[in-house]
Amino acid sequence: MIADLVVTFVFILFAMVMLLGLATLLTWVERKLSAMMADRIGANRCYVKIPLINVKLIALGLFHAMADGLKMMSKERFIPKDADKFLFLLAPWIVFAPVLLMFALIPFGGIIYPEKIFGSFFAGKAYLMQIAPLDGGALIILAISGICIIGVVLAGWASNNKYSLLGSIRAASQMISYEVALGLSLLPMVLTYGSLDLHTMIVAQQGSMLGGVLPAWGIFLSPLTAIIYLTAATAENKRIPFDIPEAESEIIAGFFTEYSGMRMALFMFAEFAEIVIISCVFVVFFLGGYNLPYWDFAGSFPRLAIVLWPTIFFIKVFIVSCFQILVRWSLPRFRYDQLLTFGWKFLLPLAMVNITVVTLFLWLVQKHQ
Amino acid sequence: MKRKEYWNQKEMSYWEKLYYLEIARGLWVTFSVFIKNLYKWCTGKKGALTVYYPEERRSDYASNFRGKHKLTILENGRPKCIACKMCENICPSKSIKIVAGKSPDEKDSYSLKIPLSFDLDYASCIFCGHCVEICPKDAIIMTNDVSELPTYAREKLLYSLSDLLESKKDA
Amino acid sequence: MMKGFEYFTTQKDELLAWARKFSIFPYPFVTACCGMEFMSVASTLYDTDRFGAALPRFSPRQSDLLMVVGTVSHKQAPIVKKIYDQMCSPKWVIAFGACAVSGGVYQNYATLKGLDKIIPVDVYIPGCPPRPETVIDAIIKLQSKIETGVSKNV
Repeated sequence: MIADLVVTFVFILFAMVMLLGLATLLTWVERKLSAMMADRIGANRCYVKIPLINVKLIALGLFHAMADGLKMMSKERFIPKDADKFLFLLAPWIVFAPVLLMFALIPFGGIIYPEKIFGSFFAGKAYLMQIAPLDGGALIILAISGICIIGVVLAGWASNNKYSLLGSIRAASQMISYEVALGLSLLPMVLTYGSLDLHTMIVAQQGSMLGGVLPAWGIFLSPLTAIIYLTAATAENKRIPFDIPEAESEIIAGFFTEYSGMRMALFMFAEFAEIVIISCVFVVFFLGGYNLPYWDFAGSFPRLAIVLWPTIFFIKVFIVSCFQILVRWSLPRFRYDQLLTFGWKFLLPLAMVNITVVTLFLWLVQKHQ
Repeated sequence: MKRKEYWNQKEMSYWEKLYYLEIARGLWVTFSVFIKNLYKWCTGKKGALTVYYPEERRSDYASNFRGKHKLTILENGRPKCIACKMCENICPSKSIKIVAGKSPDEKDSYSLKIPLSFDLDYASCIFCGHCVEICPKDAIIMTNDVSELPTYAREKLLYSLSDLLESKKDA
Repeated sequence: MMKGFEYFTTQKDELLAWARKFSIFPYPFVTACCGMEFMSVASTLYDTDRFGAALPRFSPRQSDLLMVVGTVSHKQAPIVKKIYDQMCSPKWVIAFGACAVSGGVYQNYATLKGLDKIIPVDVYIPGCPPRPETVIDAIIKLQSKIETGVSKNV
């Protein structure tokens, strides 16, 4: 009983550090990546003087992110006069908390036996490196991601400002239309692997196909599903090209116009943490999770696996996050009616056709076996 | 190669209606620029087009660029300005104010008038160059220099005769 | 070793000034032709992102630095004052261009002769329009002003 609690606590600590640390690192990565795509160099002037050596340390601009955070903490905390105070203060947390909750369902490693390393305290038990090993993992992820919409609408309504209200209504309509496509794009993968449990999906992606050339990852089995998932998830996250809720040049700052200081930083941080979550789900469903493609090292190096599995997982997550940042800095924004037309008239029929094709293919394969 | 005529097409072509292909083409452009710059930085060269201003400066200012003004002097140190007030009259934003006086040298062969005070207010100067064009004695010129113009207080933008006069070694 | 530790922990004002110096969120309030020079400073050749002043926040509650770029007319003046009042402290103001500093070349009944008639200004940038190098000089001057903590605004 206590051994279970200790292991879960260690996993939670590790997950919080990795998630929040990766989200902070991504703000720096975004600045540098966008600068290098535009033939310039990003922020590189923030120095810290090391006192006794008299050296100015510029760590490639990493201290700018720290300066941003400190400055936003020391800004005046403003609440509008006629705003609904309780909802105004509650809204950033409703947007931020589900993002942290979603990470509890993602396996960042396989099954470990800690008694081999840490002795007899963990008497012969096997633990899966996942904070909450639930059976219906995929379904719960989709359910939790729908809570963010409530936070966005509350933030816009409680600000007593017409631009915020406009921004939040646009956000609500955008997010609910792409939520349907998101669910329908995860359905073919559930059918292919045969279960809702995330660990079973990763185990099913070991091995290779096409006679040993390609690894049996989801992205090679059905690339169209991967593209639809990434599009729908970017729209859920309110990033460019689906940037209408916080469109900078159209409605000032959208639903978080009246927030200043650390509360605005919470909204932006929730957006970056959600990039990490989208990448984690993408890696689990389509990129084979925490395994390397052709080499199953868990059999040969069981003790090294504890360190190697999360490392591989987070490297893959980092690459997919960099791809999302590349998309954000390359594309222009959709107009509002183009966005809804794209969601309902193009993406949803495409997702349904995709499900039909995958189901037919699976039925044909099963008939031949 | 036939140029695409977007402004004549009312609707997108079939190829363009499949959004993802055009999006992939755009992503390829930015990705290739990123990889090129990353390669340049990793091999030690400067992979950016930026001029790092306070440390590096651009060397391609035009030869007739209009920067800060300078009042020129003769060999004996006397300013060439004869206080005729033509620059004060032609300045569109009325930034120049001159008070004329008698030259201290009784038998000055150049001119008997000398400016006692020459005030140029950079707060309203629009750097048009009319004062340079109209001066009959080439007494005022505009240099290529625009350093140290911003100030904390508006009064410091009023430059007097001693600020504008060029020193003997520049003449 | 203790001296080094004290440098980071007990100098709270210096720490806050350091943080505010290197992370400036400007609000470019562009009204006239100087806006072209602002766009040129913010883009690749002369980059304001190097100083940390890249992300423009278009909401007055979230920005630090109000850059009034271009001519302010008498009709526009109450709007500028309202935006300045809505900003959250600490805040700084830059008057960009000859028209914002002193009305510039316009001497008529419709132009406000200088921005400091309605709001307190921290750095004045003359020029019509100012060269991007001058704007970067002004940002460096503003950074040293933030570092010493002396400001006309809170």
